[in-house]
Amino acid sequence: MGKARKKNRTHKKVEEGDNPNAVKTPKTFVMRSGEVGHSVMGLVNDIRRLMEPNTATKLRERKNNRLRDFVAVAGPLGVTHFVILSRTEHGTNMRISRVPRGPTLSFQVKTYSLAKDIIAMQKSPKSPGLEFQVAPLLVLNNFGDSNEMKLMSTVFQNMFPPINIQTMQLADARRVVLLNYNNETKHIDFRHYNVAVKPVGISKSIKRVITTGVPDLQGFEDISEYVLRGAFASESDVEDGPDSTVTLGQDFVGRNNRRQDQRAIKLVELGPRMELRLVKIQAGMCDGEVLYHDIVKRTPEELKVQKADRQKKMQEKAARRKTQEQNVVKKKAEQAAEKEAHRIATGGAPRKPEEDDEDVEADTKGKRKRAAHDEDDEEEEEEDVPEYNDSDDYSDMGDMAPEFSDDDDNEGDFSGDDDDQMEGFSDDDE
Amino acid sequence: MSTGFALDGLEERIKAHGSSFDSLLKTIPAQYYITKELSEEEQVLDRTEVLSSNATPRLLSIPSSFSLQNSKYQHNKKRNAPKQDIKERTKKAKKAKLDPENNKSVMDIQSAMAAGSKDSEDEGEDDEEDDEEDAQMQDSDDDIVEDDSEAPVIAKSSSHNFEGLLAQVQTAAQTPAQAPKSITELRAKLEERLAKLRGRRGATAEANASAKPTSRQAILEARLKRKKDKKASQKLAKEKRANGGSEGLIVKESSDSTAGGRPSASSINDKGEVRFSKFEFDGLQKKKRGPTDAQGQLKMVEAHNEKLAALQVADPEKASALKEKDTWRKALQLAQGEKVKDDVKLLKKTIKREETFKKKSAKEWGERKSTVSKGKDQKQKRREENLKSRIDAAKNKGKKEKTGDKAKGGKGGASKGNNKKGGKPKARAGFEGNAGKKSSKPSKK
Repeated sequence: MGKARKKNRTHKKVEEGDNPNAVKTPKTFVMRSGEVGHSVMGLVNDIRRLMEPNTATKLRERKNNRLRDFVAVAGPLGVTHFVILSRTEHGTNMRISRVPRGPTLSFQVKTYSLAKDIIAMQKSPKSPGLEFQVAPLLVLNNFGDSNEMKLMSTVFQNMFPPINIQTMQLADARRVVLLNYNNETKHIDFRHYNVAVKPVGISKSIKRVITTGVPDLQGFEDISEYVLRGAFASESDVEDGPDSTVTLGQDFVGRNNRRQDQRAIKLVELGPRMELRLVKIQAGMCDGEVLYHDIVKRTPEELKVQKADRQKKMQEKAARRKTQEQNVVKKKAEQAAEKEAHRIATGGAPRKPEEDDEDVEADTKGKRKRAAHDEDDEEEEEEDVPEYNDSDDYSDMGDMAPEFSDDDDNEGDFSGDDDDQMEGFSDDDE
Repeated sequence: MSTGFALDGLEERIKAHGSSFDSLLKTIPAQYYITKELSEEEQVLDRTEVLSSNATPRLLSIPSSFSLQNSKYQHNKKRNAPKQDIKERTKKAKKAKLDPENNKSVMDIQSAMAAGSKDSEDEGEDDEEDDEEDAQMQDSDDDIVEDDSEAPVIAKSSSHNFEGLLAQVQTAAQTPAQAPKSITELRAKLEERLAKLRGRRGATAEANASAKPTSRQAILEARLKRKKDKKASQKLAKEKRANGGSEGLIVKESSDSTAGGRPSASSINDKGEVRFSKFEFDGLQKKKRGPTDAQGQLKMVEAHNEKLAALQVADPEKASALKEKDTWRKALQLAQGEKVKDDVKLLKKTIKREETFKKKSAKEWGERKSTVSKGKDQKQKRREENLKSRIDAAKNKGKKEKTGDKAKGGKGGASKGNNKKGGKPKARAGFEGNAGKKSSKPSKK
């Protein structure tokens, strides 16, 4: 007889880094809604690349995918934000929303430039290295203090992973996203740069020798000639005034960038360039109460009327769904009865009543289970998978029912209706 | 047999001899040759040696130079010189080494000695007693006293320079007159030095004090100052905003302004100039305010709704403003990722669910408990029964033997009774044949 079994794993191991209150890195889905065309698809891809590594770079959108499907998948994957681009005859629109039931910001993309065009403008473009393996930093300028500004800046700040001052390495600061708010035009400039450092205070020739290594000695007989030539200061050298010179606090990327060196920061533009304009803020995800609208201002009475209309619509919808379900059940029962009758008529043995009971029980049990699970989902209000449920059934909520508003009958309209139906997801884009 | 000692060439001959001897002498380093002038000191030394308990007669026979050099190299012989003295002496010695005057040949020294020997002798004899200590101090040093008498500059005695030794002697001879003076001087210098150091220390202490206020008063003052500054800056910002709002037509150039000061650590900057990515800290996270369980939250939400309803009746404008603030706050919290639980219906559902779960688990626990206790009781009962039957059987057996009563007894008796009646006892494997009990012999019981 051996020793009694000894239990080893009696408690769940809590790893050092696992702090349940720790902020999780936010993840994003960038997608299009409807047919958008080549350029906007390029913009979508550029934004995906920008948000790396916390995004699905190779997200596949199929024709029949709806927003609901993405929401369903977002929960288990830990995706927190959606960025949705769409196109109308007025222009391109971008929607940024926090996934489970968070607020949605709707922007108009006034102008944009694709990444490939920006790189084509550079004199000597650099191939991307490891800079897309770290999330970019974010800088917001001149975002004021009003409610919508605060909300906008919060949403942007929470789209990117937070910086831990204690553990952050200088080498993790490779890219930066700049958002600048212009008070007069109310446009937000969006820029994406790569951070590079250059040695400061040495002549151009020596700088070249240090950084790139082998200079081009075509016209020179000796390296001394090359070093001592009086090369004109390039434009970028002129820009390196004392303002942009820093002392590196840690070793930085690149061969000769050691701690305590003096370097000039150089920003190389990488990604898409956009000019955005905030149009609408909604309290729900692509629906819900409109908290702020740039263009349309409704008076409280109008709002009330709208709200009432909306609620009525929802209730009707719920009622219809209920009756439909009842009809379905009734029809099923009829069909079953017919089948049974046919069977008996053709001489077969009648189906055992237990089987029927079992089936019925199984069905009801399943329904009950699912219903319970639905309750869980709604109560937890987490990013759980909302399976088959009556999420659109607001008939019993009365006053607490979410409010939808339809106010997109103006310029800059963007698929405000049918927001949960994203038509036209296609694999192949023309 | 004398060679012609003519008087006429006598001088030249003497000179020639003399010069030849001089040339020989020149080859000898002055340090080792000239010792006559140390005779005084040497005598002093010898005397001290004699007087001391360790004196040995042989010391007297030691040639002067030897003993002097010995004593020169006997460093810590009752040495009382302050460090300052020594330092300065070394410095002077170093300087003097490079002085050409110090490197004199034997001839020069002899001539010089011939000239000044008388004076030194006079002085030396007066101060012999005082010389003792100083001599000990002095000659055991390699350093030199700072005062410059008419004696030539004194060089380090470690150098091959007799001049140094000579000078040492002379200064030793002269030190008693200056000894007190030098000591006072030294003391004064020491004071100077200490004062300087203290002064510097004071300065650093001040600097430190300003950086970190240590006293309670200082801390309070610093806090007040900080508060004031903050208020002032907030006021300024407010005014700026107010002014900017009123002058709507004037184009603001704030779009190009960058943050002057450091950005604050929170993700929402008060000034609203430049904001950065969200910062996170390893340490304490934000503490959640308010109740976290569903019941408490439900209460909170309901109270809030009531307040709102009351306000709606009383002052509809305020109510609407409050509602708007609420929606914005909720949107902000959702944007930051916090979970907002303010739906009364869902909270009630949660509470109900928790309650049913609790009931169910309580019921299950009760069942488990009851099964356990029931099982225990049963086992106990059975055990007792078994015991009882065993006892009864024993009793009955005894009784039956005596009285032959068939009907008595419990289970065991019953079976025995059966036996008697003729029924076969239970057959047990390995126990065929009559058991011992069936023997006719009366049992002991």
